[in-house]
Amino acid sequence: MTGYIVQRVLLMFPTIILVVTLTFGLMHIVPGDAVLAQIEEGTNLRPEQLDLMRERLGLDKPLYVQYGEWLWGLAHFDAGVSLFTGRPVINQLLRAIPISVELIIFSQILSISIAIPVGVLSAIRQDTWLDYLLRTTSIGMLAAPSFWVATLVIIFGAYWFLWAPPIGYVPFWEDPITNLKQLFLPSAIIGLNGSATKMRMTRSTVLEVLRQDYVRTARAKGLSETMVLVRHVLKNALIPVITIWGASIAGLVNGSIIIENIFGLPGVGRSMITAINNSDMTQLQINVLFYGLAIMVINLIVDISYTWFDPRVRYS
Amino acid sequence: MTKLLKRNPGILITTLAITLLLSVVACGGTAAEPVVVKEEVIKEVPKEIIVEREVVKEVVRDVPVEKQVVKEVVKEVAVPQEVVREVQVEVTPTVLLQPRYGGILSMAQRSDPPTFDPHATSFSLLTNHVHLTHNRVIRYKSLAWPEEARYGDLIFYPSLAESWEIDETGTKFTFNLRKGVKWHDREPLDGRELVSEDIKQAWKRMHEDSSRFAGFYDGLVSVETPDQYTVVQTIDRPLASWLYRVADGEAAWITNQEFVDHKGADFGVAQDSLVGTGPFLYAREEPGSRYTYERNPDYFEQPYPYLDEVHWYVIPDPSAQEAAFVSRQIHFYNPRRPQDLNRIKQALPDVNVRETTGLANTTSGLMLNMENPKWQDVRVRQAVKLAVNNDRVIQDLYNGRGKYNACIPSALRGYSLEQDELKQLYPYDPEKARALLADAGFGPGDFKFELMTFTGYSQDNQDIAVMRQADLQAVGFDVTINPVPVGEGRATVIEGNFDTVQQPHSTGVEPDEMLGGYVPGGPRNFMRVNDPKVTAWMKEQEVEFDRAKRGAILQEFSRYCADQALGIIPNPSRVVQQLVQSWVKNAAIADVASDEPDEKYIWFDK
Repeated sequence: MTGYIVQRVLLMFPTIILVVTLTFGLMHIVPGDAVLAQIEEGTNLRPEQLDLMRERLGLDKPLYVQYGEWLWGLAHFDAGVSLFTGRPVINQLLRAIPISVELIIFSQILSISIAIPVGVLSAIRQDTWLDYLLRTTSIGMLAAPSFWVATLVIIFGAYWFLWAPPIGYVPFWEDPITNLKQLFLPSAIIGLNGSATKMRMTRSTVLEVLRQDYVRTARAKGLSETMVLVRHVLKNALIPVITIWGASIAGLVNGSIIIENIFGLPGVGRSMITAINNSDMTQLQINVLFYGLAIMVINLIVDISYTWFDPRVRYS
Repeated sequence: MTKLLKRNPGILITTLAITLLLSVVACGGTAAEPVVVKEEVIKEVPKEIIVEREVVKEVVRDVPVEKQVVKEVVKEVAVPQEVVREVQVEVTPTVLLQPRYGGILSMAQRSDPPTFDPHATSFSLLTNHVHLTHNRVIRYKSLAWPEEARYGDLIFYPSLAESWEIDETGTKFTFNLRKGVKWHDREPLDGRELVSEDIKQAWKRMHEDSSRFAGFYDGLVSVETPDQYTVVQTIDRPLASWLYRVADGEAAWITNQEFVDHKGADFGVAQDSLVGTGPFLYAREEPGSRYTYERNPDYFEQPYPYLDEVHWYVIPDPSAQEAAFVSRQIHFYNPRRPQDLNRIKQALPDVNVRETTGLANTTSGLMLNMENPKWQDVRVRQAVKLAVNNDRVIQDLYNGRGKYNACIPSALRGYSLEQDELKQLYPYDPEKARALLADAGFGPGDFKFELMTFTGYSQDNQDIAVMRQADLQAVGFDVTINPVPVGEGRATVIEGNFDTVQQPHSTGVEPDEMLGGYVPGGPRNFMRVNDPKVTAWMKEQEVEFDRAKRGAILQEFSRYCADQALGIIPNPSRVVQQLVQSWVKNAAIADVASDEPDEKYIWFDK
């Protein structure tokens, strides 16, 4: 197991280098840079001033030098400053991480607390009107893009109830109630969208496990239906659900990027969109690096968790 | 438990429903602000005694442009009749409504300011903040609401200087500073008095190469400080537009060099760089979320400001901004479309609409790359001009509330042409457009070109691009729209690799700003115009201090520009309609190049 973990961790490095290199290359394919993003149409800047601005930001150097310097800085724990705002990018990232993490955790709590009971219910009431209703609803939740739902919720919430989530962002430790008000809707939208897949997977696997011999044996032993379901069915049925959950992390991150932007939450995702719009390479690179690492670490944790859920799984 | 669920699945559904309901209830705390319904907007400003008081000051100090150019001492200039008339209009029997202190004004912008150095950018994202914390030596007369905004009038108004003089040569400007103006009570200034040396250092900074506005102050030769309260500026040649540059709402903010040096490399990085002499002090920054400013108790223009705090929220999504306004969390909102305005008015019948006609000080238009061989034939350019239907833009996009523009936009009164003439210069005549195109040797679909637009920028420009495409295709042009991100678009335009682009051409409130777009080889000549006639007019008007004569030159330029379809087919400008919560009073428009209010005058009637 330890060897497996070490191997996976070591593999993360080339993977993340590949990701940030690709990001760096792609951002330089399109015309424009951070200097042009800082000026506006009615600019009075002389060409030599533009050159001076580029020189200050290091944008006059060849691309491989820029990239090399960035990597060298990173190796020395210096991710640089934003090309757009001049602030240290690591500060911006550290400020944004708790917001995105909180959003993702809340959304997953909502997602799982809805998906698993509903999936189980759908399975144990297979082919009843309730099953059909829940499955249809889950398909609907899956089909509706979260950015569309978010816009509708914001607009209709405002017009029907003259209500919208409190603007701005207040950390949980400063004002928990306001923080929850701000995060509930975005979390619910991401969570409901994600719960559809998990609910359908839970239903399928519960149905499959319910037909296994050991379930019949458990019932024959006289165990209560609750005991059978919790001890014998759910634990086995959840393994594929966990796989799905692990695989959905990347999608979850994508979803949170858009939702953060719509709800004005200053998380890592919104910071990425801003960085792309402003050609802010240093900020974008550190955000991509963070997301890349986060996704890989979560997937590793999910893979390791299989050994706990399924004793048959062994890593060597 | 399972049996229970099997028997009663409704329990689970009910539990889930209750959970959701409780969650919704938990979110329900943002109570809608109480609605204070008074009366229509048009009656509000006249009621306010402060407006009247302000005008009384103008009686002493206001100087119309015509008067400045004859180099009279400001204090001795008679009050223009126009101002007197405004005083009469503003005094009404309902003058008893007194301003109140207190309250937090909340507004939203789409992004964080890119910097907090007032001389590093002219984005309104920063100007929105700088005009809270800083002052200029002189400014324009505030654009009282609901009076029509009168940017074009350019009536200068005292700010840090209480009066000013121009010598006979038109190259020496003497500014007499107010006494007792204090810098913000922040380290290392600690509320010390502003003196002439501060102004000198600030102007020096604006003029340095590191300043975004260095080119704007080209021609500044020296700044002298004969005493603590007098500053003398000398420029290398007479410039009719110089005083405008001193008053400019994007560039001319007075920073403190001692403070800049104190901050060192950190100056401009964070909100705490905004230390000036303005009506509000920086208080707290929450990047990506909110910037807070608090009342400056030592502000030199008493009794302003009335508000305790101003909050600028960062809300990137336009729908979320609209929802924030409808839920009464922000006090101002600019609807994107007329139908948005109608919808909000239905939901919130008490909100006021603030219209700023003539304020559209940005020239946008279909810009032709004049270095591109496609546009060398004047008949083709004229065909483009005749093919586009400006009335349709005004009717369909602006809900009938718009004005025709020329190369000098109609907002610049006295310099622009009248609407009737503009309609004749930019007629919609598809038949003639077809004939001109055929005359130039192009049949239907033979003349192909690309129309670039910037995504995520101005919705109006993108909408107009689609309308222009339809108009042009109707007369036989083959037009492809190429939407690109703003950064990419700017780079393409600067490099000159485009056929046409639909984008803003220039911002500003002075003709020189507009004409900068026609300087051969100049940084803002995106259209690559190089016309000797235009260049000659530019030089002629630059030194013409007589406003009427200067206006005549610029009007001639506009006629020529329209006739030749020289580089730009201007968009009509929209009447900007801004929604204001009913309890917000005295929301005069700031005299900077945006539609935002001047916060120091605002007070709440609640």
